[in-house]
Amino acid sequence: MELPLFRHVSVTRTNQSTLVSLVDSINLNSYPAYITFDSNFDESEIVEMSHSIANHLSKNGTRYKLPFPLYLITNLAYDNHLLLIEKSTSSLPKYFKVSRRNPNQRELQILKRINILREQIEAIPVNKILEAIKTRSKNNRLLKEQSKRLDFYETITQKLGL
Amino acid sequence: MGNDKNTKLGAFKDIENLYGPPINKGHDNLARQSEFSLYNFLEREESRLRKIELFCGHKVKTLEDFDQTPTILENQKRMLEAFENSLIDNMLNQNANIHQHLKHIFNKTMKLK
Repeated sequence: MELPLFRHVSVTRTNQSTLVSLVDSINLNSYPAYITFDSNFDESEIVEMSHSIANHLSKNGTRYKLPFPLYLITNLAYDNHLLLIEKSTSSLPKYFKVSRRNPNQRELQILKRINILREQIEAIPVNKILEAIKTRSKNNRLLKEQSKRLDFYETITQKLGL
Repeated sequence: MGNDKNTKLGAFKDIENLYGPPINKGHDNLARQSEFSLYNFLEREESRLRKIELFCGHKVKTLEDFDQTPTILENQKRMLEAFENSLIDNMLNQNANIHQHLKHIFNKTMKLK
């Protein structure tokens, strides 16, 4: 059973060509992960690779935020509103940074329960739900604006004694 | 001063010996913390996943199936239109309060009698 702790995936010159399969090898339903790029890559190469990762994830409908996040570690100001980007590994959430060791019997029992929950979440179309939440939030914002306008008109009519 | 203090505290040395050397609790606590950190993390993780499952699997689905926002928006739109129409009608009327108030303001600023 996989412990839901951070996995490190490093992109180097040797595995650059198999970037897509490298990303596919990360099981984001089981554990969070972060991708780092080798220091000998150019800025343009890193941006290109980040772009191809983002494209691949969105094309395949991979869930990279829920239940476990996938981070890109880069100093560049690359932002395509799709990926979670951090400047260094130290700025990654501490929640998933726990020292790894063999789980004991009690911990294994919790892990079993976690696995069942993972399978249940896997069956849910999380990406669709995130989209639904986005549209719902837009509607709620519209509702707030309209309510504000309605309230304004009501106070005006009250003050004018209409 | 330091020697004086030592001689004064000398009487308590025998009592101190009875209790033995101080126990270093800090090291034990650290070991315990690292022992339980994984267990605590797994417990928190279980509750986090349970919440995600409850939210995405049940709550959002119910909200999607029985979404009231479009109906409320439609109702509000109708009410807004009605309010705007009534306001415009009242403003266009020559005897409207707003005209009286505007007349008063203009007369005051232009000093007309």
